[in-house]
Amino acid sequence: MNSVLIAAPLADVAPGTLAGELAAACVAANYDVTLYCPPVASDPADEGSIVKAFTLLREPGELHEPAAQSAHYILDLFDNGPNGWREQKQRALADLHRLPDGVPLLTTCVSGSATDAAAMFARPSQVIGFAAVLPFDAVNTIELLLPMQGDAALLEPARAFFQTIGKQTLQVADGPGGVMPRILAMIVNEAAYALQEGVASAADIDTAMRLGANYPYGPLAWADMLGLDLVHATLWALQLELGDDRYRPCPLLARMVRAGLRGKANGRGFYSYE
Amino acid sequence: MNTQNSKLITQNFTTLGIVGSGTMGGGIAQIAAQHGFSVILYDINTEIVTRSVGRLQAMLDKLAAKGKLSGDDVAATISRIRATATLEELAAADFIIEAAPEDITLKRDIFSRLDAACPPTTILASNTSSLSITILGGATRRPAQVVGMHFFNPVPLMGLVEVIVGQYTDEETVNSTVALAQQLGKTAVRCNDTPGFIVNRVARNFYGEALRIVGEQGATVEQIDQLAEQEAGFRMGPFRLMDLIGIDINFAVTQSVFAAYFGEPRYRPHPIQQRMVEAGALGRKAGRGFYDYSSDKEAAK
Repeated sequence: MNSVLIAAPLADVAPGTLAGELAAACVAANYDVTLYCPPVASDPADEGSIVKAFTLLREPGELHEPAAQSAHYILDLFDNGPNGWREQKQRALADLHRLPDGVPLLTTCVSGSATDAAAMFARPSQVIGFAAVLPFDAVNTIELLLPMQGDAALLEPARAFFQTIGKQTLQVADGPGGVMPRILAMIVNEAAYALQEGVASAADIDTAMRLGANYPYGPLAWADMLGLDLVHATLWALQLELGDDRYRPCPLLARMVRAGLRGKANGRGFYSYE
Repeated sequence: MNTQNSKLITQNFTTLGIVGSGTMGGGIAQIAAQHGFSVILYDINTEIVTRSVGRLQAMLDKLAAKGKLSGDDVAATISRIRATATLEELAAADFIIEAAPEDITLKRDIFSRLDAACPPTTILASNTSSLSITILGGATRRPAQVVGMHFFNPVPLMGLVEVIVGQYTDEETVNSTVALAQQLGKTAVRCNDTPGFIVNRVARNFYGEALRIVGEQGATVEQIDQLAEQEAGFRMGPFRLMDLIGIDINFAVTQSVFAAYFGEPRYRPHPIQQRMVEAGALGRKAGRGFYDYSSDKEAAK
């Protein structure tokens, strides 16, 4: 049986999040899944029921155990971004250096480029970036991003991995948010500005985009699925990398993130989920 | 506030006046007549408006041939539409929807003439997609009874109406307009009078950001369409959709919103759009846009 090591903040391993859905997809595809969730500030008090289904490692030293050392793929789901996330990702990538050389390290690029992540890893040529939007069930294609320091030969094992969990892949150029997370972040940002400016209610903005533009979801309900913190981080990374004010996050969105509203992941976003 | 469930104090309308018998005005006349309203349809001369009614008749006959309407329905629908080339005849209507070309001078003139001709309680609505309802209200002595009613193309198929609330539009006018949209079988959303309203504003970066990624060589047109459709679940990727809408139309909307917000960088147009418009590569209608339709294989899809 092949095994996968998923590194993510504990709070992110939940149904509906990219980390939680990837972990569940790996289990469904008969991978042995080991979670590496080093303690971070945002940890929930309770490890949660979903985590009980996996081998859970909490300390860097535990990465020397066979469950981790036997991994065929490493998935890094620590996000880059404001609010101390960058330090968390740097620390997690430093820890993962304890894992064997030559294993593909697939890192999320929703909130930063693959090149940026590879620069944080001691063996940058081992890194391949990927990006996807949510809801995960509806996603047929995942974006692959080759870092500037990367090894193109690892694109094939990355493609093969995603194929085993039922997803096609498409390689796009490296950059924060790849293609679709970037486009969706911009649409959500505009909807948030319209809401902040009192143009219309959240429900009417969403209804208008579904019925007037045939969007599969209203942008604000979609933001709640994607995670407000992640949409905000995508915009932050784009503004930083491209230096263009068109990417500045809407103040309402930034304030919601600061207030701890993450969307569906914790039941509070543009809508309330009780 | 959920517009669908709010308690409404509304007027009951039986006769709708429609200014302009083109694609939008004709479509509104069709659904109004199909929903039992009497319609007075105006255009600038008898020939144009007669031709438009003929076009509606042909469209309804086609629906009847497909079994979607009975021959009696078609006859009854057409009998409810009265054509005129005299704007003042719309005074007999109790709700007027203007669907003239998007020209502020032309529209101000129409609103001013309707204001002079119609009883003071008649609501004057505009189907504008880009002009300010507050400005149109300023051309009348009844800004409280001036409202936006933004339908989407094709009117019989698209389920949305944006009800635009001008700065001086009163609550009863808004509620009556929402109720009318519902009687026409549409879902109404309430939107304050701001450039692009909801849809044309929030959708800007579906196109704008996709163009920027292509410009950066981040991905190809085909790749972005594939990802929009297969990763994110949009019915059509941004480039296929721009080809369908018309790259010139899409570029004009972008420029209008960009100008209305005094150069806000989120709405900045892209040089690729301008280059294609000036080269005549306007999308499907030109046989050439982001995709090649010269063999019409794509267009037939």
